[in-house]
Amino acid sequence: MTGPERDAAGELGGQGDVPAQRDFEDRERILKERAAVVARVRAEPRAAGMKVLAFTVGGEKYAVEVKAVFQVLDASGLFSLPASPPWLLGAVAARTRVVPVLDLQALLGLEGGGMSDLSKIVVISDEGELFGLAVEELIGQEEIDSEGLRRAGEGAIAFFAPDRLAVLNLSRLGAPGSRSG
Amino acid sequence: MDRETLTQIWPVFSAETREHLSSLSSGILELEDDPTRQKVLDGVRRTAHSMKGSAGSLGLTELEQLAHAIEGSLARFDPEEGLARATVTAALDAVEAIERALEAGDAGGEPEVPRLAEILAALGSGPTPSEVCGAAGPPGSEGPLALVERLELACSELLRPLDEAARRFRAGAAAEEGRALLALCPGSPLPARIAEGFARLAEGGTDGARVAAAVAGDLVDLRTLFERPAALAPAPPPAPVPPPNAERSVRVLSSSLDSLTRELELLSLSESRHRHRAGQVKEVEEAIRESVRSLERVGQALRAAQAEEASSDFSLVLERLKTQAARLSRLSREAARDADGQRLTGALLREDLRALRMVSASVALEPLRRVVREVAGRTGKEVDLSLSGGEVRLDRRVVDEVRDPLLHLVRNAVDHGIELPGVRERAGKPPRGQLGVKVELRGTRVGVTVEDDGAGLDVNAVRAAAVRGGVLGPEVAARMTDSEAAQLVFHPGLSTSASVTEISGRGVGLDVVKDTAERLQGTVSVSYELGRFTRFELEVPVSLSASAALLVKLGREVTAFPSDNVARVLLLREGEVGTLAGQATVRVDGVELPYASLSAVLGQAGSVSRVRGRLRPALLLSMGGKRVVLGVEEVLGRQELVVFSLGARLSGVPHLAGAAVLDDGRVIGVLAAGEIVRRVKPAGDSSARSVPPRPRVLVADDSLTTRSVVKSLLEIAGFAVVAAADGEEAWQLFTTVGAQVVVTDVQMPRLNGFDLTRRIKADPFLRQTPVVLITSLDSPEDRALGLEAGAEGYLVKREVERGQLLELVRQLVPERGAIPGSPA
Repeated sequence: MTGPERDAAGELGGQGDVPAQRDFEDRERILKERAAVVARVRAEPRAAGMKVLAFTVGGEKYAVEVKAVFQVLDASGLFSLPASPPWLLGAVAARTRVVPVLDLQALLGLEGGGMSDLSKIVVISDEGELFGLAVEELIGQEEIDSEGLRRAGEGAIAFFAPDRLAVLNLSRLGAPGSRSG
Repeated sequence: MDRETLTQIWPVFSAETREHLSSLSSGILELEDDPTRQKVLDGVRRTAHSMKGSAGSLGLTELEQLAHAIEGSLARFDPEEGLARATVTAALDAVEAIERALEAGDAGGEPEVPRLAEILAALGSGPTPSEVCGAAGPPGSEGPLALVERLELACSELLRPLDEAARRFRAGAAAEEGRALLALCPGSPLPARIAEGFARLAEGGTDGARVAAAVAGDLVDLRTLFERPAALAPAPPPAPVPPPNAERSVRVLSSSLDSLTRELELLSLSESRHRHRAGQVKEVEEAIRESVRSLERVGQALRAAQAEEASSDFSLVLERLKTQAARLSRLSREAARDADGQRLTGALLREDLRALRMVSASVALEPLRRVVREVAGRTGKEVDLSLSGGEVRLDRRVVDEVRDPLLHLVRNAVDHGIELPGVRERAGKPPRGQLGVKVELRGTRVGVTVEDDGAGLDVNAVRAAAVRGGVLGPEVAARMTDSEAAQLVFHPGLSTSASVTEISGRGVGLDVVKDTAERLQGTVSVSYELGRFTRFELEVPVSLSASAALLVKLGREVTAFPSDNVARVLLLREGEVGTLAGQATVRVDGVELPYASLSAVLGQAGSVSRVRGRLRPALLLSMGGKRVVLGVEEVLGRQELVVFSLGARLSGVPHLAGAAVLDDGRVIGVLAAGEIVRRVKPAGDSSARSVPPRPRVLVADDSLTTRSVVKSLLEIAGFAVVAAADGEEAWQLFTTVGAQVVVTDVQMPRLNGFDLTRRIKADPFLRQTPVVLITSLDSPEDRALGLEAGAEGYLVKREVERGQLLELVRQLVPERGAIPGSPA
């Protein structure tokens, strides 16, 4: 909650002890203020665009929303797991947990792409569940103007942004259990 | 409920009720401010209701009555009118009274509610008629009691909106009657206050509601007085409960317990590294001492050779070195002592934390009483529930996980297991069905048994349902033994009852029970006898935090089995593995048990069978009564591990139970013993016959990621892949395991790709094996160097299309035949 928003809400909430006549005028004012704050909050994401962390996999640019990024780790900490399916590269220790590291290209069902070394692991938190994506190169944080975003449909890609950047839809990404059985 | 169980469950109940109370009082206050908030009202009612339920299930009738009265007073609530002050006061009084009772209970006393009748009356729900009869005073006191009743009626009428004249009349009359009370009990201040209150109500005014509430309270006190004529003097205020000295329990978020556990595990990692380092320091110290001793001998030689000047310089340096060596030895001792100290504290901390995580099983058992009553009532069945083992202490997480499956099993037993009374009588059984839920410790595991004395399982209906659901073909179903077919009830999408009833068909199927069991590294099974009983057995570990695991080598990797599931480690001599009807078996304790090697079970290339003339280690896995022998390459030891679940995205990888961090920081996969056991086919199952060997590719790369990518790429294409981290290791693997194609990186430690290629091409027997070099360098010189070394293919990483590598490898794989490199 931002400053003015909290103040407005607080005043309204604590009105119980305010004398009646003041109460009436104040209510009007506070409601107006609060409306302004709410309107501003709603408008924000559209105006500011979307903050994403961009990286390359298989020479192509992908991105995830910054708020979903839990940690970025060096790929040297990656260990393989026994008899893992192709989309599961292994596991890595992230802070106090161990998280699986997935192969984005395999998840997306892509055949091509180079085999250059994966250098970083972007650990992502999707509704509390952590998993890592192995990436070749970390491009860094970018802000995408919502004007340039194009919906990509139902799959694991949420949007296409200009400059050949695909923003991933995390909740649809993976669930490889259902795909590979 | 017996005293002991109550004592055990009390802290949980007390903490839970306190939470209820705080949300109740804030909800009531919120409603008083704004009566139109339906959501808050619903929340408050719900809270009161669940409080009633939990008090009731513990047999705490007084608390149950209070909660019920609060609920009742809110049920009469009309948002148009808002909450009367009196109702709010009464409800808050009730909340406070419950709090007092909790305090008394926390201190180890009886959770009695002071002034129960009075509070109940204020909430508008007098004691139930039977209680009035029981508490009725002697006949002589009927006069004043009747008067009090009339006044109470007047009071409650005055609490409702009345027009001015009616109110004045009613209150005036009541004031008169109140004064009559004065004569009846002159010693008490109550009648005077009541009379005065009614008089003020008759006058009218803004605080009518408050006055009426006060009068109502006084009236109740008065009634109590008349009902207990012996104590005409006003009862002393209830003695304040002394602040409890007994330990109070606090509620802790289970997520903070989880993170505490994880952090502690990290600490213990660094602790074992400390120990390791202290050991290394000690080694260095000893080496230096040894050197000092040799130097002393050199010094003696120097003196003997009468090299005066050199000798004195030498002894000077030697002295200095000795001083430093002594310092080092002191440091080493201190480091060792610190490491020991840390280990000790860590052990204590772990023990405490483990205890903290433990709750008694009754937390999950007690709620079953209500469920059984409810389901039995709805289905018209008569059921006696007996619970045992409530005192067994389990990991909080285990209890949380087991709670729902247990509810389901119990509902299921009442709904489908136990017959209707009439049916039972016709079958010659007592009309009341018996349902037993038993929790018992079995070493580090805990067994939960749910047994009913109903009709048993209709195993043919299960077979039919499985066939109908496409789970298996009719022939297979017919071939199954009854006890095998019974286990089909755990298959998703199978319902034994022809019509899904409201009670058991709530979306939690027996398959969910099984899923939960397996997630906890446990098992569930069913047994029955027609017409006699059905018994479900759930077995899970006591604790989910760090538990002992057995580390085994699997190819180049290390993996682990929970020790719980490993009954024994065996050493098999050559020839001990025989076959029985086409399935490899090993004789253990006189029984032929199915045998398979771990790498075969996981479909990985392994080198188990390479070692000849030596003892081969194997694990005897035991899971839900099923035993198999699993051959492994090497048992590396035992370690305490915290197993992390890898999340829902890996639900399609059933052989992995999770992952864990080893002492040295390596991350390893932990295998799900249940799945592994399932994959080892019992004797007589022809599907276990080995498939023709897949062509094997040796992949050498020092980068794990590249190695994994290449490996999975080749594995999808149907190759078996052996991976090595450098050229030297690749050479070792190549000469022991063998491969039909070698794919190697150029720049690697120890032995680079060029030299590996040269070595392979220099061997007269191995030279025909094709080698593909993959490099991040693309210079004509390198390419020339590679081809000169004898490589058949040369690919640049950045340019390599996955298809290109596959194509090349496919071209290079020789026709099926002997695997070069492997010893004949």
